[in-house]
Amino acid sequence: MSTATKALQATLSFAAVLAVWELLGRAVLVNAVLLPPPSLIAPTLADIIVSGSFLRPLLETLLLFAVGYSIACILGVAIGLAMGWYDRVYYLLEPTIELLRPIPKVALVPPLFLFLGLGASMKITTVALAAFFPVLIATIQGARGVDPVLVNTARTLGAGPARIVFRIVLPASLPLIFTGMRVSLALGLIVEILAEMLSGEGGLGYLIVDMQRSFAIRQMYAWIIILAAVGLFLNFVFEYLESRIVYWRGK
Amino acid sequence: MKKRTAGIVLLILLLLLWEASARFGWVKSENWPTLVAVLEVTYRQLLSGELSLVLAASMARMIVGFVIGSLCGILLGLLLGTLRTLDGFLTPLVEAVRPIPVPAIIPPLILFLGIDDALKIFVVAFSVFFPMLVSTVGGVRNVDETLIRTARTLQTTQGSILRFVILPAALPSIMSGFRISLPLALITTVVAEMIAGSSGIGYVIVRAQYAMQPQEMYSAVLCLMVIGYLLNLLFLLFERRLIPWYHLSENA
Amino acid sequence: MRAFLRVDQISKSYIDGAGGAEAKILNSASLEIRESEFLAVIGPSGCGKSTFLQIIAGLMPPTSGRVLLCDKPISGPPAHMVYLFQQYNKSLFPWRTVRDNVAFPMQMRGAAAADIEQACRDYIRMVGLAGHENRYPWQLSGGMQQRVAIARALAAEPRILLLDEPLSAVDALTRMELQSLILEIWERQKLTILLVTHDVDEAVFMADRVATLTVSPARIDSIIETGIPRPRDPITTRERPDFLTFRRDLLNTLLNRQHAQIPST
Repeated sequence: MSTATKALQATLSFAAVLAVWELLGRAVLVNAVLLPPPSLIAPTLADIIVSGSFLRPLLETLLLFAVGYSIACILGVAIGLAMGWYDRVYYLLEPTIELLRPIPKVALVPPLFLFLGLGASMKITTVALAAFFPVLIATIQGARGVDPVLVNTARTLGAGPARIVFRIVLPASLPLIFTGMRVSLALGLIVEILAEMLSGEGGLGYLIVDMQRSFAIRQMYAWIIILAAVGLFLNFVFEYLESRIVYWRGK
Repeated sequence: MKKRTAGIVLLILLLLLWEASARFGWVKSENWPTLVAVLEVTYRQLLSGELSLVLAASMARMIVGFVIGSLCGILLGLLLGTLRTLDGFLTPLVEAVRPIPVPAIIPPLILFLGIDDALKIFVVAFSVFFPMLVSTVGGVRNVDETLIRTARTLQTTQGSILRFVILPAALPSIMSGFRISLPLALITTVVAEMIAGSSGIGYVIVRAQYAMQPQEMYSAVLCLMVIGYLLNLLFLLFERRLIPWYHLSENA
Repeated sequence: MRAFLRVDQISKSYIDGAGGAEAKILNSASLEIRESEFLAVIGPSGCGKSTFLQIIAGLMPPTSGRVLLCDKPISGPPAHMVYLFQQYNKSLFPWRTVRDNVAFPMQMRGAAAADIEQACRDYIRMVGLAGHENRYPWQLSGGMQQRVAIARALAAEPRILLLDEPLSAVDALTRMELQSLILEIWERQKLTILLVTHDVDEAVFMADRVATLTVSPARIDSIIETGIPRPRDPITTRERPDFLTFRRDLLNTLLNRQHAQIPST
């Protein structure tokens, strides 16, 4: 199927969804107060964007998420490589990790309120906690699954242990690491938004809950659309980076 | 087992550190109960039914949502995987809705569904739906053309090809969807109960935090950990039953 | 003799996805196959042999021309015609045991369970796999996997077998064993076999007639009838002067033709 056909099909389906949504509201098939038609949400959304008032909450959410996510990725890859490559490290840490892994990390948000308050450090910590495990597990799997032929080839070519880990094991594990990071991206965002909603402080998550409570329904949808765009954007950036960094992985 | 000795010793030391730090006041905080106290509360509340009822209700909602969401995901996935045109129209919509973090859809849904079971079941089904859809479509797409051609020359009808060739061949990929969506269902259940609080284990954690009852809070987290662990175990068991040939054939 | 299977001037072109250029694979190839004969089609790799065979099997439509089975044009895979793929490891169902793979075509026909049981045993014994019924394909060697594929093909009760380089991925000794096995089954079941291969030795050893395909776009170039007596023996048949002559002539044609394909600069 050509790109043009695909674009046309996508446009048609979006147009169809918007039209149905609009008609549902107009024909009073659904409560237009609870689900305002797109023609009413659009001006609100435009106001928020034109006035620039979306910038502060958006940046707050993105910044805290980025810090937490980066910490998780760096720690996850580092510890994962150590565990995947050195059996002794693996067996030392495995029981503790197996114990902590099944905890749904969202359940740790309230306990962390108690220790870290409602501010930035709490959000960064929860995001990092949630995003850490998928990266860790994927890195361990990747490092343990590296083809011994690759490693032995490098050895016969005179590579030392450090070079083998960073030049052979790490790149060979990257496809799996990215798979883990993709799961983490989604989980981290869930936890970030949840933490904002529960703490009632700053960011897009808080705004969505706040608008709902104050019955500013159109604004609430406008902020959800902004958040959806953020999710799409992050996915897009992720896919771009992945295709750039593991370009050698066959289709 | 011998290899893990050091690891288990480390784990026990960490737990002892928790216990000692609380007991001897190394961590000066109202919110840092001893491990023994947490275990005690958990035991007492499970026995009294206070916690067990809450857990059962949460699990029931989770399972219903999970079943609905994964059935819808698999069925639509089979459709999109086999029908190219439908795929061209629906996949862009799916890709647009999928990246929305699930907590964000809860406030508007509260307006329509209230804060009771319907909401939580819907949210769980919603979150489970996407990974199941994506992995089913991927599985169907990746069925080797040779298998389908073989079946066609062996006089297999379209319906039989779907049932006897495509479905079993896509099953490993569908199972990998379950591997993602099962823990996600647990997470979403907790999230929904926290945001639309009225009942459930997620609500218990939030309430305990407000009420400054750290023992209750940690005991709820502990229960969730056990449930998460059991879900994973259950998954592995199912995987071994449903696709015993898969991992073995990959290694062969 | 009346043509049992007639390939009537089939051509096949693909539209190249990116450029939109038309690539012609087959150029009005014609061939007549007699009932119960063993016909081999040889041609160099990538000359369109598989496309040729898949069109005959009804797996893809030709751009022009038609294929007639007993004077009836085919559309879609006809009954009693079974295709054996080169990639036997991809054509066996990895979630089915040897027995269940063999049972597949009978199940699709809706045969009775007792009949299936009996037939499975017979076919599995026929290909020499008795005792392996409950193993999975991936637990078997390549040669054994192809034996399973042969047993499964027989279970479809074919009159025509289409063999798409079925032995090119097994080792040399196994290949000879399987060649003899296929010949034995061909004679016993009174099958019509159309084999495409790039192995001249295999073609001359197994077939009554050998057709050559020219390189892209492919068409049938010449057909020779070898007349080498049967039964054929894997060792002594290959030492016969007529075997060697046919082999040399065919290799000459194929190699020279490929030579001529390299453009002079």
